[in-house]
Amino acid sequence: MTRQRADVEVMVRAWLEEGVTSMPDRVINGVIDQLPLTRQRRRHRMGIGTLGRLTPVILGAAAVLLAVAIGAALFIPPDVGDEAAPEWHLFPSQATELEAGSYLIGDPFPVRIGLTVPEGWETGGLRSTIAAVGSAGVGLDFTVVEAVYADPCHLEAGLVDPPVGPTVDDLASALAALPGVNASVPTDTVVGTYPAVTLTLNGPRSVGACTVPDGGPKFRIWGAPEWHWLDPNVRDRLWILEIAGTRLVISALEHPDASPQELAAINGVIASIEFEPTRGTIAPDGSPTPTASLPPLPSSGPIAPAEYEFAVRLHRYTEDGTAVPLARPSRGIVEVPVDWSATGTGIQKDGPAGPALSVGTVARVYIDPCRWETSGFGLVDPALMRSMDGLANALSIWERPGAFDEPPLFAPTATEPIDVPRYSQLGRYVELTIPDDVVMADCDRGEYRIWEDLDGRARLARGPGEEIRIWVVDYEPGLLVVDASVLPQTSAADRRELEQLLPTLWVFPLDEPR
Amino acid sequence: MDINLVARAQDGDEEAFESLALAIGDRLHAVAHRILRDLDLAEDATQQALLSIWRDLPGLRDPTKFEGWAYRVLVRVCYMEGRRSRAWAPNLHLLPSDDPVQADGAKLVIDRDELERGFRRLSIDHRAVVVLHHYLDMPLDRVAEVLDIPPGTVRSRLHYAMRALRAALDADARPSVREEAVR
Repeated sequence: MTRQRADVEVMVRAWLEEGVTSMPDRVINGVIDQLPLTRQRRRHRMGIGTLGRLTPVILGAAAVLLAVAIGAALFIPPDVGDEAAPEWHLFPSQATELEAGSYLIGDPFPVRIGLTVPEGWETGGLRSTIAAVGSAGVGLDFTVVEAVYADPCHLEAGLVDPPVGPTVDDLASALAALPGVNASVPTDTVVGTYPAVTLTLNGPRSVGACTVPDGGPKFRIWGAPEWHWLDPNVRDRLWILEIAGTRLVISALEHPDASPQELAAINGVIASIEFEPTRGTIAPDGSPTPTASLPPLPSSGPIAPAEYEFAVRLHRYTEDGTAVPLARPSRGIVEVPVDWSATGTGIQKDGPAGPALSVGTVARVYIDPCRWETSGFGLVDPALMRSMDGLANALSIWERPGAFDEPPLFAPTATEPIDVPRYSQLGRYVELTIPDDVVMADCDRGEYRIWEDLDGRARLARGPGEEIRIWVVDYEPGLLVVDASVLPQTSAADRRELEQLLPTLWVFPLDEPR
Repeated sequence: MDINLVARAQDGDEEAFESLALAIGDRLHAVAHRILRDLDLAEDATQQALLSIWRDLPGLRDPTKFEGWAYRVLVRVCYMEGRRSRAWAPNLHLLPSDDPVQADGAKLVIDRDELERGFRRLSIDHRAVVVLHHYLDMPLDRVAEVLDIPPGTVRSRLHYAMRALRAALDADARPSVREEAVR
């Protein structure tokens, strides 16, 4: 008997109604006890933060004049040719102080943006709709804008109606025409290598007479998905451009009390911006120094504990999609602990539930891994797997929105791919979990076949409930896939051993010392 | 939710935050319990979430969005609790009993047991979507906003979770091997 969807919903709702509905006193008492010991995080002054909270810094007229002079500087596309390749740190998702250095904005923000910040800057956080950095007097927001207020000073007037159109020019024109805003004429420019439109908005002298029905900040320019508002006498330089289908807005906010150093700093940060950067490395996550020579990792059988080297042959894709092996293999190293054996594509701790680690490629991903031979689902389109993002998406296809009306019955669960540093590269990370109720013997040929590598070797699930962590790294032109897995029965000690082993595994790009 | 209380708490007013915590604590705790399926873990998660809310409250730009934001903080904490305590979820099994019971009552207990087991197999991400939508009655777009994920991902997670729960219930409805052998 198969239950109807509506019946199941009714049952789930009734079942969820059961259970506790009140918080025990000890919980709230514990919170109250901790409050004096828990310091609140204060936001710095930028679009994502609370603009009105900080004590104003009084500046002399000379500083204000300097601010105007520096603010008039044009957006200078970075000249990346002569500069040393940056070492990127992933942009923090939470509000925090930043160390001086280069940061890479990525997930969940839809555009990858690199920028370099000086000492004393903070981030207000990173969301899918905004990334913000700044110091007390200046702020730089990267955001998307969907709805503009009709009258920033009288928000009860609602949003611009009809809504702003989808193009860069639509938004620039709408912003330039806002009542009460002293706006420059939108002009064409280039940001990085992308055509853009720039304009400057100047905040009003006072917002005292402005009305706001919802208690939020006054003089809001846009209201969806993020609020963006101008305090009195704030200058807001905007660049609007389209990158990979996203209409990106860059806002450089300068408060009247910003110091000359801050104004110089924000121009420096703006000049450092790179979109979808392709150069540089991700800040090392413990990069080892390549040693001259190590014993080769055995391809089968027990391995004596020692550090070994191994070769991974990656592939590039031709225009017609043919995978061609690279002329030289990449070199990897790994420190093997006691009681591990070689599996052909990696190593595994001895015993039925030992953790495993493998390094290689992925050429074919089975959509129905249990019915890999007989199911009509077939393979993920190989054309979609020729980029790092595409391959990571293929390895998490079971959770891709809209991929299925009804996914295969024993499909793995998968996390959404996220950016991670791996081997000083920007990698993508996915976790798969094999269903714990799948009976491997009932699958086609008794195999739960998740993928095959470019040499045709299959990656089979090792058992129900297996947890597989996957890193996809773009070695340009090769895509490297590392997977580390444990079973539900894997002991805590073995899991710890895998965690200790993972940092010793390293694959060097082809241009590194060999 | 009293916006003035939120604004005062943002400014560091501990009494205002205490009132806020009392106002929202029951719902947070109920949601934590339904996601984590464990009372002790739910208490830890609720307490940790309330402290995180206090700590990060000054960064909340729009006080009217306090409640949704608080649920987002709670789900993040539940996710961490779930990851930290992978071994906490014992599989519940309905032990066979020789006691005569009403057929409907037994079926209800079996359904609960299968739902519990099916739900525990879900990831915290999937559980959160089910609880926010089916327990708090949040529309899917609102769930997406609270969890800060695309609406398509919410629909996908809900679809998968409900399919898994239906499969758990259907598995119970199929005759067992032993029942088949007796026939």
